[in-house]
Amino acid sequence: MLTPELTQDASASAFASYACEFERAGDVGLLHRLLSLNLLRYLQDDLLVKTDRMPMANSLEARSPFADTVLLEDLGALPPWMKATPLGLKRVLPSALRYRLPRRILHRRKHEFGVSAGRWFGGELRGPFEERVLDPGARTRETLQRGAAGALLDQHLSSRVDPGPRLWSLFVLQMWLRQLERPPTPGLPPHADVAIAERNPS
Amino acid sequence: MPTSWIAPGSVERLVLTGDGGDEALAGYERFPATLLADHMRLPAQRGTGAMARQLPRSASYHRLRRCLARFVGELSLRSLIGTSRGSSPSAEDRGRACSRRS
Repeated sequence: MLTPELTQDASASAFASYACEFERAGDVGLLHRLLSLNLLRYLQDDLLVKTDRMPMANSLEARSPFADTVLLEDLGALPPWMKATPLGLKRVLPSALRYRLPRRILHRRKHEFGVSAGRWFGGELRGPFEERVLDPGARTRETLQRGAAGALLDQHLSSRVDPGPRLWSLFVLQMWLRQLERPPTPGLPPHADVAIAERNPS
Repeated sequence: MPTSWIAPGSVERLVLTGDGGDEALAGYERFPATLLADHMRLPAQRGTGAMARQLPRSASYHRLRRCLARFVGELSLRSLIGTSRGSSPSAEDRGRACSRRS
């Protein structure tokens, strides 16, 4: 979807960082290389950032005991076959806690913790998306191939394929770029005036 | 987004999250998928990532279609980063600091 220049840049820089981390893990086998990459990028740069900021924004403190460094080192020393094999996951944690947790918790299936943002773009967010992202003056025009955003929305509205997360990213990117254009109000932290205006549309 | 939604509903001031468990103990289905692809020595396919995205995604986390999409997606990943059977990095390469995304 991105312009050719941005696509080139993204694959060169962003991907190189992942490949480098994967290589740096060394000769520890495929699974541990992948786990190392996940810890250093997905957990550290993505998940933990969000589960720290969002509770904090609501005066709540969230702690992540599984991210404890001593625990991570100990678990990292476990052999890979105890964690996953080509035939499936090994579920070490439920096994270890077999006698400590109730059955209904032990046997509960893994569950996603997400929202179906895609659905909104067929409904209440369709108008706002068209208004902001498909506007000829939209800031995202500079980053996207011509017609890509509209095509994505059409694809979403007409098919079984769900590009919801990408629609959401475009929507947020457009609003963020627009915020950056506005001069900050004296006495407020940068962009707080926009956040307040969005929350209380008059 | 979901975290920010449930946070105001907490009556406690301190909550615990499970973040890190899936990374420390391999909790994602993509790990067996990658190991299987590696085990079967399936040829890494550039472009299967796009193919995986075209597969209809099931809303449910466990549906077969979703697993299939993951599996096909992993083949694309392997074409980009190589596999465990690939070259082993030199000590110098290993010590090199990996640049951040920013």
